[in-house]
Amino acid sequence: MGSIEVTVNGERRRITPTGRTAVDVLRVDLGLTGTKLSCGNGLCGACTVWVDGVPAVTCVMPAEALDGRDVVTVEGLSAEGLHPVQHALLAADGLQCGFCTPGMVMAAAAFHDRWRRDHGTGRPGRQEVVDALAGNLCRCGSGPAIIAAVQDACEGRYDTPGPYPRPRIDGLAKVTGSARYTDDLTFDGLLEGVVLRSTEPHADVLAVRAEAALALPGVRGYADLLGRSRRVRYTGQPIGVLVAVDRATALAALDVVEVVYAPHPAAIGLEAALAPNAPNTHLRRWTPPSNNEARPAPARYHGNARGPQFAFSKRRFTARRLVKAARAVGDPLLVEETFRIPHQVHAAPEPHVAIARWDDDALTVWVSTQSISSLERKLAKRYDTEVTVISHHVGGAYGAKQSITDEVVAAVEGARVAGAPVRVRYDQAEDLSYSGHRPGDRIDLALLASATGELRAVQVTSYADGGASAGQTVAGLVRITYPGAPMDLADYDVVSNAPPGKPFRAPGFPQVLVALEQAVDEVALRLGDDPVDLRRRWSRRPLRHLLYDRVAAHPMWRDRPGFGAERGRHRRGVGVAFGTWYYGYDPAVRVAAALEGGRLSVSTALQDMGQGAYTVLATAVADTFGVAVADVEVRAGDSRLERGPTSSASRTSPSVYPAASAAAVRLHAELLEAAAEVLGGPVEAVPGGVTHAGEMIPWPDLFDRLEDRRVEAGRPKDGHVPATPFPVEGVQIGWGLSDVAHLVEVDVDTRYGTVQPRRVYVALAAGRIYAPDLARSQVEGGVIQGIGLALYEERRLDLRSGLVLSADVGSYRYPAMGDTPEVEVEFIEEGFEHAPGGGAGIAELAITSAPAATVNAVANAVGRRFPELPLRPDRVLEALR
Amino acid sequence: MTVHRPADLASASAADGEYRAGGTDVEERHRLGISTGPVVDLSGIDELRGLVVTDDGGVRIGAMTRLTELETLGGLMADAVRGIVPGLRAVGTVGGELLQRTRCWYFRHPNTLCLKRGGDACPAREGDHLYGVVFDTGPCVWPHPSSLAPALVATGAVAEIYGGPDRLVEDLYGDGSDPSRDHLLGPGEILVAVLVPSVDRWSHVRVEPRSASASPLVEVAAAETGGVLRVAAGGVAPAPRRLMAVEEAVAAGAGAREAAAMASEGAAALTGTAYKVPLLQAAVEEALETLA
Repeated sequence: MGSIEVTVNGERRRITPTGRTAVDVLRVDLGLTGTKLSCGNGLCGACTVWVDGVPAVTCVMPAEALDGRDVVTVEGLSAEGLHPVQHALLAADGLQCGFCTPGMVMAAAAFHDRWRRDHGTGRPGRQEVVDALAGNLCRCGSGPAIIAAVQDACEGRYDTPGPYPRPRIDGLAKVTGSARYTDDLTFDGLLEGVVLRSTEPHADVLAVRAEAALALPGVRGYADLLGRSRRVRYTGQPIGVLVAVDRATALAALDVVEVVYAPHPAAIGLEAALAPNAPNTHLRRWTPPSNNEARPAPARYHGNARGPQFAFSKRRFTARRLVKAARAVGDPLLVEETFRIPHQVHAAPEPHVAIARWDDDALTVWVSTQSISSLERKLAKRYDTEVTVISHHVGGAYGAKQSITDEVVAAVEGARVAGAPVRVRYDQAEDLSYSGHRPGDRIDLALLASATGELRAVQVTSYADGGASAGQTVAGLVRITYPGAPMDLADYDVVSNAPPGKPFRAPGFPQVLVALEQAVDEVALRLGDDPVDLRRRWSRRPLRHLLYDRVAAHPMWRDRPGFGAERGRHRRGVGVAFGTWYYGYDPAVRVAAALEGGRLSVSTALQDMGQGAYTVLATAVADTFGVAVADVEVRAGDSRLERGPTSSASRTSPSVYPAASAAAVRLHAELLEAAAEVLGGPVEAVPGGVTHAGEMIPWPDLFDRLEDRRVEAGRPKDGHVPATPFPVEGVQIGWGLSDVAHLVEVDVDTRYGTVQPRRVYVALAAGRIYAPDLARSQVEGGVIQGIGLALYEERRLDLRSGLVLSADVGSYRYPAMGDTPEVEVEFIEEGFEHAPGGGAGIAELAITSAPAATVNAVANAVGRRFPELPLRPDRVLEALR
Repeated sequence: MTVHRPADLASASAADGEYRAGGTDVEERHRLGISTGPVVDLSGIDELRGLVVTDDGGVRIGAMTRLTELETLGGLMADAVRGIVPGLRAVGTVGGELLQRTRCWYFRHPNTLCLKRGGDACPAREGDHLYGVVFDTGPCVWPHPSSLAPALVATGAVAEIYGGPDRLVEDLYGDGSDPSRDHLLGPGEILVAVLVPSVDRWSHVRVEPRSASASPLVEVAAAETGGVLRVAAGGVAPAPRRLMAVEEAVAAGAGAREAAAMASEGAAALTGTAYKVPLLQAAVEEALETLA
């Protein structure tokens, strides 16, 4: 059919639908990229706009349906000043990566306007807001702040133009939809690449016949991605990339590519790989890719089990002997159980996407990544060329977007054969299947206590199910959690013909703590001891004891029901668990601080995936000068800037804040001198400016009179010898451990076995917090992702074909707005005085023990423990039987 | 995608291609690449519109009525669609919701074959059918996805069909024995409207694994009209299922628990779906208890 007419943001537009969806027309034809395409089946809400005043998803709306209708996008909503809901989201920091934010804004603004019309300035209940935002998923877990922000806006607190607090420096760009993510970029002549994937779970690829595909109109090239090894180890493994003028042409061409396989027997998943006569899933000496930060340590294979790593053990033969003896006599204080933890998928709202362009011999890559600088170095080495990596805004990562990922290689190789820029963008099924996951796990645990409540021995064997990847340390983490007793800790990676994992926020910890912290609670129950008091005896670390004190005094804990004591249909449960993370930093970061054109700026090749890194960077400079964070311009997201850290392992803030501070302090000193010269006399520094001749002159008034200058600094040395002698993959492990307490209250509906998280108290002891509002957001996100792992999330794999079945957000169920508890966050800003800046990171800490606490809460409610996650209704009902 | 946009039912009935109402299902399948071919867009046909209260207090709902509009009706219809997220309710239509294709994760996967996509077996039966049926009445083991259908079946609603006889909504689906069909409308047959009688008492229960789940585990609708109670369930069978045994038990004077136990009559759960049987019974019990 021909063209149709639609009003978009108040303007009459003529568009040609040509069988496309509304979101494509808005984003591509009209350039309104504030509206995001994420799930593609109408369930995540990122593409929400108003159609005739009603919030509607556009990813499954035919463009023809726009005929004669009135559309408002986030750009239109923001055109004449911010909507009260946008002010409120900024003030409450109800956003992180920002990719879901425009859709959230549109849904929330419509609710707000309707509410105000019907109720004036009454405060809506939580449930009413939740119902309105039920179809807007926030994977970063900003739900608590979003709900509160919408309630505040409905009360009329943001009716005037402001000003209101804006703690997040890139928040305005995100709530107005002007932040451009990699997925929003477009270039003249940009080609699309689609990945040819193995249909076999285990095979040698004998031949790829792409001639027929290459002969089709619009197809521009095919590049191999397998390299010298022609073996594919999982269904969906990339074999090559096919490049065409658009995605539809590329997909059609993919259908006629013929791949000739020589299949090998496959073992798909943990049980199949561990079966007595399982086929060999690995080649001799093959080191699988890592699902952790560092490369997997050398290890032997026992069948398909790679390992064990037992370096974290301590008097392991003693531990083994004690457990065996206790088992022989049926010691009631020996807790033994086999736990099964599902695979948790990152499911970032912005899919994995990369655009590559070759100019002569230089390579530029625009990519949604959490590791700009290291990706630049790795690509430069791999392709022996000058490389630029650009990533200004990242729509969620959680660990899956670091290092050289498959879509990057596909885009680079595709661009090379096509001689033109190429984009490779995963669709939702690819993203949820092949871009990584927290490995599943089978954990055999034995924990032995004495009658006086001493920890006598721990024995943990972990079989990490990372598919065709390895490197997950799970059992070993017991050592830093309860270090006192003899412990026999063995970590295996079970290599199978399934998609490989990637690091996921606090690799290993959620898994082991679900087992360990349930076992500790069980020991306490058998001893008739208070679970917190028992733990108090097992750790000597002062920070942990501060947390024990906090939890013990918390009303939620004091008023907890007895184990399984609740009766009636709805049962309340309260659970606690404690987690730990390292203090790590990248010692090689460089940050520049500058005065340029009358404005302060700070720069480094840093990325912000929603954790607030840009704000932390600006805060370091703002703190030094005593000016507002908004007065500092941030230059980041580009590898041509000073070397930045990878944003993983909670290293970003402890790396860049001290470096930025150091640069800012030197800049400040130089500017003081320059000010004295300009003012013609001695000056004294005061917060926000200088005093001269008894008069306070604010820095902004001085900046215009001072010459531009720029200083660069690295990260000052720690006040304590680090825990490891040198950095691995850019992470130096410093001295000291950070700690967290999660206290969770749930409501269990015993009729259906469903669990509603109600309230969470989380206390973190990680030293100084640089940007408290943003840190709170990040912590809430970790809590909610942890609740997801405990209650809802599990990758489902077809054990015959190796296909991932939970390949859309309808079947990969991470927490939605209705699963959001109220979260109280407390920071205990102690313990890292030896660290420059005084702070450790918090990203991983926030999730570590959240699943364990959630499981302990459900166990408390129903009076049974849970060896298997997630706590689906069937499992809860089974426990109640 | 080739799109025809007929202006009236006669030309729509004669057009070649899959019918598209709101498009939420068709667009998703085309994006996934599991459906191809031309589409006949029904949005330009006036006869499919309109939401009118009939003389007997019932309501005639045009097939192209958006799900959001059902909220204005309140009652059972509003409750039935509340589990569909707001942004989809604004796009999806009554006709499309009733006649959508299965949400089976094998069917929806771009790289599988199944009985509905040219395969010769149901991969979910031997594979992962965690969210599958408990009434194993056909070769496919995935439940029918409609949330609205159980509610309409409970009210005894009638489907008005162009190009074929009108029939009860419960007769739109058959018993699931033909795996190629998600409904029984033939070529050229178009759902024009549903006629929903007024009900005296009703209830609706939805059991979800997580809030705002795209597919609930079980949903149950009950409605009483002129002393006749109908109970229907979704999420448990290849077609929306009327629970006659429950109705009969209630008619015979059984209490809610006793009657609810009859919900599983005829059930044959799969290895992975046995857990749904107690969920179904509990949901029916609650539906009977909360009938108001």
